[in-house]
Amino acid sequence: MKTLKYLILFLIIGLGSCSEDALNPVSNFQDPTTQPNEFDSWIQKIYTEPYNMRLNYRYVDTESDLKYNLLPADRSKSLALAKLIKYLWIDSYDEVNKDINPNFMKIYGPKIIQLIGSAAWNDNGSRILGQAEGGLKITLYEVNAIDVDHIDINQMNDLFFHTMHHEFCHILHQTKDYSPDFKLISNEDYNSNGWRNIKEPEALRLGFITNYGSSEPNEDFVETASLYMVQDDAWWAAKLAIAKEEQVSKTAFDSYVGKGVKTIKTVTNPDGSTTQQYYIVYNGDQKLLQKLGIVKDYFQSVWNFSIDDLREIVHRRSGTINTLDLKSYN
Amino acid sequence: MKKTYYILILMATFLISSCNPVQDQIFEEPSAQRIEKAIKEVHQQLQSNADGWLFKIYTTDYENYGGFNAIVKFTDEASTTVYNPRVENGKAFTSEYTLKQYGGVLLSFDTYNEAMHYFSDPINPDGIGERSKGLEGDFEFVIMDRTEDKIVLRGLKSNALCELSRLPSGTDPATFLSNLNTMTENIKAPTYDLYIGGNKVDGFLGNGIKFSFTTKVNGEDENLTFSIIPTTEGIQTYQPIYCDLIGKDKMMQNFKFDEKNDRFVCTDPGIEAYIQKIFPPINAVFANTATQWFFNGDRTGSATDRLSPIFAAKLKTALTSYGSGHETIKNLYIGQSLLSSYPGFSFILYTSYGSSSYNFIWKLTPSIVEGTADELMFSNLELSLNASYLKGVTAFVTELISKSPYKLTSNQKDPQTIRFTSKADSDYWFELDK
Repeated sequence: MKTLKYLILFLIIGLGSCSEDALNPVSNFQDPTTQPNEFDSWIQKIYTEPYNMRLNYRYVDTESDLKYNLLPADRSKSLALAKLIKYLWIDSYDEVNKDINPNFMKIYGPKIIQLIGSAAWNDNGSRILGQAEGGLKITLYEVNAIDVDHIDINQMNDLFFHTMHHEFCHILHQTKDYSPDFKLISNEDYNSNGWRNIKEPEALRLGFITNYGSSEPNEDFVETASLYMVQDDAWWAAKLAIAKEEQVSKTAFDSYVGKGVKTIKTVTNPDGSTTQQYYIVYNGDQKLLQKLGIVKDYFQSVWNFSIDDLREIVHRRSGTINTLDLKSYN
Repeated sequence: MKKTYYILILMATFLISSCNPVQDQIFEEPSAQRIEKAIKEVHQQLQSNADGWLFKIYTTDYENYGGFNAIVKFTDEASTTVYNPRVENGKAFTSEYTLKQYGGVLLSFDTYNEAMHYFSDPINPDGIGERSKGLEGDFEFVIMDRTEDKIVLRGLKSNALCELSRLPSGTDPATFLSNLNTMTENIKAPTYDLYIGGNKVDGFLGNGIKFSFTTKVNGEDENLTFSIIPTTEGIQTYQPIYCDLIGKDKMMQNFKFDEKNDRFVCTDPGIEAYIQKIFPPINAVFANTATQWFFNGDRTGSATDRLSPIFAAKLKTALTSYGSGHETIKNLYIGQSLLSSYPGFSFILYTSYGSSSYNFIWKLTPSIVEGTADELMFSNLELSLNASYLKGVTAFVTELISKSPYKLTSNQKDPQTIRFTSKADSDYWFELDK
């Protein structure tokens, strides 16, 4: 009798689960069905197949930040930028890694590059130049500002390549971290909220290459690395000079109160007389050079290539961008 | 024990009868196939008219900006050509579009097109709206409803209702847009009156884009506000207007321009209503202004040829003698204050420094010189927001008031620029732009 009871119970449980729905082989979430155009095929060949990267020149709302009022990128300007990104950024990393890790960019490169035509304007008037998300995606803004017939490398660096290197360095240090010693150099001066109020000379004197670098150590690290890659020695020498000391008037010297050290230098004039010059010495250059040393060591020890080699390649290529055909799909 | 078996057998019976795998389908095809089919149909419909579609576009703040017209042609499955009368006089701009799934069919103008993205540029080319926001229009639209000649869309971010309507065969975009521009000019007037059933409606206000009046709707007092879009025939309101004055189950939305009487006559069935353009004397236009009148030169007063030399010199001195000299002058205007916390007729200086901006406000009163159609007094100076910091500008405003009364002149029927010349001393004059 007990057996009969269990049989009926199994019957109930079995029948309760007897509904069978065939799985529909067609997904409810379809990609747009538009035929790929010449640019789409070029992206597939140059970016997607070799590097597993998707370059979105079309606006994709799910890949964009809806809190901003944005514009899509212009197609011809997107092509020019896509070619420049390949030549100045991907190919530079490929070249420096060719004997070490030829798949470096395929492995570590972002999987999505989203191009946006306008800047992302904040209500306070500031604007965002680029964003990186979780090591997977880099968003570049202001693509429509490119003048395809008059490419200016300084504008390209300011708007895009400083950002590309900056965001890619985030991906790299999020994959393998840098030495904790870096964070100790300016530990007491990071300010996550107040960095916008720090002007450039003040940031340099505190040992930050930009005021944004003073927001937190990771930003400081990638600002140092990215600006080392895109800027030349003269640019760095000028920044180091500002970071080191400031010549001031005697009145300013006498009334100065701050962290800098008041120093009087005596210089000899051509007629043999001497003049006293008044300086406030900050020694921010020492901190910058210390940070740069850790950055260089990081690339060499962690990624097995020299950032100086990469920088040399980037600068050589930057000098030849005007020879590139930025308008055709060749 | 028997009872337990009965219960178990009863439960088994219920389950057997509830596990029938045949279910009634609301739709015959799965959603993926239906959306794919819908996208294909929309593609065919959009490309079915070589003459293109009239795009009536409303933006986030449609109440204040009204509607905009553009012509859009869908030349193939990916290319579109857009004509916007506000961009290079309606020149054709070509770019891409995509139809995709987004809770329905989404029409996305997803590569840059100067004509189409005029409405969504965060820095509007004509300086409309806040810098960083612009007109806050969309370039992605969800298709809400379709008939053969009309597609109703909703802006993805703005939620504003927009419309594509099939243009007649042989439509020339340039002529069509030129006709719309003519109608845009026809709409302009300093003030308007609304007549329903032959009676003037009290308290009707409008600026040519947005109109409002208080009336009864289903017996209750309600303030009705509506914005308009120019059509080739006249104007159309964003949504139909319902109120007790026009009768139950009736609505007004479409108005035809009556050139002879300079009015817009409602063409909706069973409605006897029109909007009459009113041109009051020029001093009344300015004294009753609901807007702002800017000093010339990028609205900053820097165009010295638009003030008399003596006023230009005094204004320059006033504007350069304050603060640390770092501030940038953004606007200098007389009229209704744009600051809701400091409303009223005022002389206003708006400046910025870095990411901060400042308003300096001097309140004053404009009044018509009795018995005249073109003379105006300024009086009752009152130092309002931040004004006490700027003694030089206060001195300028004081002098401007002291030169009252002014004779007002304009060569436009609906004045957009007014010249103010002191009656006492004609060396003191200045011009303001609406």
